[in-house]
Amino acid sequence: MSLLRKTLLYLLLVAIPVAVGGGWLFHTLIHRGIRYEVDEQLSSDLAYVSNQLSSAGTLPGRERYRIGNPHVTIVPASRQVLPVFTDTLTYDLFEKELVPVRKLRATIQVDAQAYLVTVTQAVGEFEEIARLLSVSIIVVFLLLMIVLIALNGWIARQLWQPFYTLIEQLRQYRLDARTPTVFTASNIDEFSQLQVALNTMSQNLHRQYAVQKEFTDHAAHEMQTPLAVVTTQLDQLLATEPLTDEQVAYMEQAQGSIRRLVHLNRSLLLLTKLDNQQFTDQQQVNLSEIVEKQYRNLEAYAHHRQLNWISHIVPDVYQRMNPYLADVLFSNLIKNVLVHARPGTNTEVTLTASGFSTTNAGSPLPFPVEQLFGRFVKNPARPESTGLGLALVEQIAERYGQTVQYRYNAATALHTFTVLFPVN
Amino acid sequence: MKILLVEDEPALLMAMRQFLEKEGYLITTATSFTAASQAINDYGYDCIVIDLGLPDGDGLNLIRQLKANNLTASQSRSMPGTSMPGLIIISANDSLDDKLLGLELGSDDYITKPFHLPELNARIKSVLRRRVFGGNSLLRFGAIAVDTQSHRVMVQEQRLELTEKEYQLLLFFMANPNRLLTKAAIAEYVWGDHMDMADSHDFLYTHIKNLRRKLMDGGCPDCLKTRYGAGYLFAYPS
Repeated sequence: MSLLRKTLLYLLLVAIPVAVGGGWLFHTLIHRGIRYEVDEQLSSDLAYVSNQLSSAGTLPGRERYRIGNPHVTIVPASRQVLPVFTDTLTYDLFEKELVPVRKLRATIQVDAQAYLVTVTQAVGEFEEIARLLSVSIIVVFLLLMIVLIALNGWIARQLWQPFYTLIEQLRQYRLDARTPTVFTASNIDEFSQLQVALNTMSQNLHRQYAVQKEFTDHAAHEMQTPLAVVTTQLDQLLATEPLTDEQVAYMEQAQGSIRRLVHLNRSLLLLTKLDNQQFTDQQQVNLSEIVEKQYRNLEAYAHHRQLNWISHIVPDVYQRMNPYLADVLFSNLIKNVLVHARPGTNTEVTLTASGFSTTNAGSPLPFPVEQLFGRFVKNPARPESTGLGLALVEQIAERYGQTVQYRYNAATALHTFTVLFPVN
Repeated sequence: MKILLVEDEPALLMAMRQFLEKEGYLITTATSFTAASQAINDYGYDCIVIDLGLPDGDGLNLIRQLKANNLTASQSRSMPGTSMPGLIIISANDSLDDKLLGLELGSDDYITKPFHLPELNARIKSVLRRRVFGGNSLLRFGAIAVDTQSHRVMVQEQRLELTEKEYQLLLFFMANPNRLLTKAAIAEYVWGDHMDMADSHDFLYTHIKNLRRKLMDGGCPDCLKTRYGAGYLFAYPS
């Protein structure tokens, strides 16, 4: 839920009880006020009647006065009662319905005679006014709320605009952009602070990224160059005559070790670059072409190892990846099959729209399964391996939301690697 | 044939120079971007080998400069024969970007460090064939004739059916006759990085054996000999 909606929701949650409760409170207060005023009026009427009675002396002479006012009745009473206010309903002759009235009864002593005086006052109109007032108060309040909410929404949208701009810029942030992203300034202090902080962060990140990238680039150059020197000098040494079998054997072993070092260096650099997120270039890669090419490349070697080299490759399987990394991922898994398959057995490479898998027969893992994708984990029987191939596979797959699974069936001695592509 | 080598590592430069001089090339060297830029302006070369990682500049800019020079030269002098020299990039970086950019800019080949000198030699020969001897693509070695355009191999005017790998092996041997070639160097040229497996040498042996048999069946004397148990020598028997 957006900040704006949340604010509106809370406003409404508060406004509705306040409107209802306020209406009720207002109504009660007015009601009481009216009753108080009516009672005061009745008391004053009673006092007036009492005065009149006292000055008139006798009642019968004032018969007409009593009839002239329907709100006052005077009857002789036998005993004294305390003044009492009551609410009742009276039939109204003009409106032809029962209307609420306020009634005051009291006895008045004139000389020796006591009279029971009843003064009434219709209150229906007052109640009506009170209700009307309460309802209009609620309506006006609700109208005010609606206007406030609309206004608040509009203002918030205006005020938060710089924030949304910053978010959009963050979303499009690219670490490998040529220049660091400069976030848009705002004239609102809080957002301005955020923008300054983001700019600083962006510059730092960019600098660090550049330093790391430069380091890996240099590391590649600095390490490969001496290796190139050794390789070429060995080549020159091999071109001298005469040589003995022993010397040539040593040189060839040295060449083999250099090759291992070169591979190790490349794999480590690749891992470092992956860790540094240096492969940001992505495109729809035709995996079918890559797998087919790798598979064909190794076909002759597979036949040499007497493997029944089988493939099921669905054409035109596309995934969004870096093409170089896609190549590394699939070639490592296919090479893995080739290297570990028992000669004379079937090997399978399968690519479908949902995933990639390889199957080969071979001896069980010489180390625990959990270590399979670890770095520098290798079969002691194959010291020439870098032990980084599967670590790279897992890291690349993870980067593109793919999952790598490994299964070993002890009964059939089949190793299966599966790469599941993300569903979308 | 004039070749310019641009490489900042003196030991590597020396090794390349000595090796290529024995091949009969006229070698000029440059150890920095500035020197290379100067050398390119001063003379024409048939082939230029450029290391991309120079201390004072990007090797790719040398290629750009070379192209610009070539354009103005052919415009002002209107020499019909003027053509770009062959270009081979050497890089420590095996990332695809550099490779693609280099090839896009007009380089003919791309080698990743470290490389074997016989491989550089074979690649230079291949580039020179394409660039300089444009029309003549026939390679001869004794009774063997290879048409590098159609990939056709003839022994004593008889067509020889070779697999792609056998053809590449033959080309590599013919580029480096009378030279001891280790299995590692051969495997790297023919299979690149794909062959770094335990019994790949055994695999290589099978291919070489097949090639040798096909050549001899075609009537060619035995030119392929193992040497010192670890390498091969391609030489015409005297």
